[in-house]
Amino acid sequence: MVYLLVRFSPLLEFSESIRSLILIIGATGGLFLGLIAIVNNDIKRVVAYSTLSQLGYMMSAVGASAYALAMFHLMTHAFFKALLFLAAGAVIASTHHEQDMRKYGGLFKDMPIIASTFLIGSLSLMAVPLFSGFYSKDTVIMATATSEIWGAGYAHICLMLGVMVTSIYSVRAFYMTFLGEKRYTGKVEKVDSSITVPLVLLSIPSAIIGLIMAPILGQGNWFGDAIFYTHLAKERMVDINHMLEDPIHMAIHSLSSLPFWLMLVSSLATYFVYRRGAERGIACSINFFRNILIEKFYFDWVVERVLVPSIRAVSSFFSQVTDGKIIDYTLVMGSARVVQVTAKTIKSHVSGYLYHYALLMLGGIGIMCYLVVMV
Amino acid sequence: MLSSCDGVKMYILSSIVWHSFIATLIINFIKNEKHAWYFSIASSFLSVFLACVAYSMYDETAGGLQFVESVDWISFLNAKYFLAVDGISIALILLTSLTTMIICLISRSLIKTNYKQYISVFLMMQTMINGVFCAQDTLLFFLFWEGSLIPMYLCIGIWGSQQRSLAARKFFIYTFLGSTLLLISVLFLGLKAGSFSFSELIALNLDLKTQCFLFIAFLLAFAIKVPMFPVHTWLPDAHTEAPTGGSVLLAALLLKVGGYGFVRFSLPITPDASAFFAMPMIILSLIAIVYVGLIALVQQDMKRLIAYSSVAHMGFVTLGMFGIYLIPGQLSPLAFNGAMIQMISHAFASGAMFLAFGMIYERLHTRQISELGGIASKVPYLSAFFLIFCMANIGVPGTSGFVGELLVIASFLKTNLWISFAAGLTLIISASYTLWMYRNVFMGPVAIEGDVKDVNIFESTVLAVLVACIFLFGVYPKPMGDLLDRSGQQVISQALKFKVGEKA
Repeated sequence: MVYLLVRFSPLLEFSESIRSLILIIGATGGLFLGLIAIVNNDIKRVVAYSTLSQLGYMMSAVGASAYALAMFHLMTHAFFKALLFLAAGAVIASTHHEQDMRKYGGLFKDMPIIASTFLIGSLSLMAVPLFSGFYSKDTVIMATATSEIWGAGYAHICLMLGVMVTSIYSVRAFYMTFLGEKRYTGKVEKVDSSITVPLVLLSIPSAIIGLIMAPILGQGNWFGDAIFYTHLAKERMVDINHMLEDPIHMAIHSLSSLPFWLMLVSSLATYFVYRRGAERGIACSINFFRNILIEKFYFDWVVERVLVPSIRAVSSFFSQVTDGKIIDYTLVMGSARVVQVTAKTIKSHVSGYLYHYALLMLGGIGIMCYLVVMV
Repeated sequence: MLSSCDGVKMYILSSIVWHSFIATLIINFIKNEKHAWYFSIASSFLSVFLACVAYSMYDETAGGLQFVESVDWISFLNAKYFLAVDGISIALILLTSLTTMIICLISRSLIKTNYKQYISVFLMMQTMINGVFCAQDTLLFFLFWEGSLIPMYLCIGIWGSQQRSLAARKFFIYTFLGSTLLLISVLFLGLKAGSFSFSELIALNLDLKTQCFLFIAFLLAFAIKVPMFPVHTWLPDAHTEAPTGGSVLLAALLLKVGGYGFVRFSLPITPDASAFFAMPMIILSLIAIVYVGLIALVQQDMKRLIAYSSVAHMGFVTLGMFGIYLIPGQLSPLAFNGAMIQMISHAFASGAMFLAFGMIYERLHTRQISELGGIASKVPYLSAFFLIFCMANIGVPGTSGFVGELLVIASFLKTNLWISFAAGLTLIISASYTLWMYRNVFMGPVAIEGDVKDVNIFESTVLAVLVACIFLFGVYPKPMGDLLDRSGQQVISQALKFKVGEKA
């Protein structure tokens, strides 16, 4: 989908309102779908909602005319998210298909390779400087800051908050799975090299692909003519490209930037909340919001309980009343019944008695005579 | 070589029309039912062969009427036995022979009583429908048109299920009502022109008022056959009660006769009235697409559901046909060809679904969706075939259903976005009801006890032929497009040749 939107850059560049729409939808998704990941206990669902959240970042990049950055984030995300999914799958496989993180805990010692690769993926996802996710995500946030289209300010705030959200759910997932007291009661199966080798192989680009790609991308014409920019959009990219050209300096520079501190503070806060075991108290105090998140903002509820039943009700009405009663019963079969009733009525006049016909004939002759005389 | 070729060209249409009639006569004298079956298969293969010969000899680049046969028939009316075909007719004749072949092949396993009569009804039907597609004389057209009612009436009335007599009567009287109006208008036109051939009637000068009356008469006749909203209610009944062969033939061919009627009568003979009524016709088509699609969503009877989906998909045919009056110049052939391709592809998708359903019914003896369930585990191959037919019905890219719908929707995009949008709704609605049906019938908990035998090699071969057609026209529709293109343009030029000067 992101690829498709990037492909449509010549179209999008000429419609600011559509880009505004994409930006707002993307940024909203980036923040709010990440929020759902915070309350989920299924490890795979956490990773899945995190994917949706990151797709929101990519869409925001498209909305901010930073198509190259959208593709950049798509690529880095492909590496670290594939890593996270595989690692989560490895955890599930070694715990006899247990997906509930509440039943994990302290698995680090049992599976150090899986845990460390999961950590690398998470750090990259959280945009820790020097990790690949850092280069793509921070530049996307910068792109929304430089954008001047309607809704760019909102998008910038959403993505900033999204950084916090990402750190919270990443640290939470890591802590619940690998740290803390061991709640898993069964035997932990050892996974063989067919699982660990891909994990290690994937963790390498998850960590360093950003460092490698950033200078290349910083030259500004990696995609050549495949992406269309207006002059203005190109000018806005100059600063970001300039930063990307020196990735080490960018990482150092970012230590004094807001996203980094948001990430650091929120991840440390989450860590200590779980260390202290205070998560339950917090969950209770925000129960109202938590329920909204658990119900996924009631989207499924609206579709299943409101949308589908109402469409079925309309369809039933059409089927039974308009089609069944009005058209078929009244108009079609009704006209057949009219013919039947008329035929029965007329039939009673055809009595077969000669004197009835004679009388009718006389009457007819009388009317004819009257007409002849009068006209 | 040339002379023999000309000889073939002179008699090819007569043989296409009448060979199955002769077969009908012969088949009733065959004692053994199995031999009768072999004979009907031979006849249907012959008709496929003849149709292919006609197709290969037809000159697509020239278009127009070819293989002309004209003999005096009723001399005092100047009515002729006048057969000729253009590309549209050829496509539909191919479809007719293919459908009849499939019905003949599969009939033996589905029908147990009065087999010989059953198969002769279908061969008779083939004669009549091929006659409709070949006739270039309106009286002859009417003869075949009416003739096709009788075999269908018998088919539903004798081999149908419980409510067959009501459904057969409803079907007959309903369609007969429309035909009467068609006869009156044909007589009116023929006596005015002094000839009944289409070309003479097209050349006839009519004022707008006369055209409007004629258009409404034509409309009733053809709209009932297509069927359009709101005269569609006979179709679900007829489909539900008809035997499998009857349903397949009804969906694949008889509905197309209605669409073909619009192409031959309404558009060229009353172009001004067609333009005048174009918008109402488009609205009726859209109602058929959306409203009838919604009705299909809540059907509990599998055959009724497929029947309603037929009505919804035939809405595209009328939509594309009357779209040519709204769509400017270059895009209008797109809409018209889309409508023609939709006719053909609907025959594959809908006919195939009815056929596959017939196989389910033969095994499980119920039509209620609620009584079926999870049968994919019992009949995996049949379920796989049915899924492909469902996909064609939805119009998934790569299947034949996609091509026609895409052309019609795309051609409206520039003219009126809202029409495209409403027509595009079908993609969601038809996916909803088709997949809902598939899920409830083939997936989920198993509701059937005991063993059910899957399709045998013979049945799967027949179904595979349909699957091949669906994918062939879905992936490579060019041959069909080429066949229809020139003739379609000729019909459009006739349909846009207004008789009353400027449009009122």
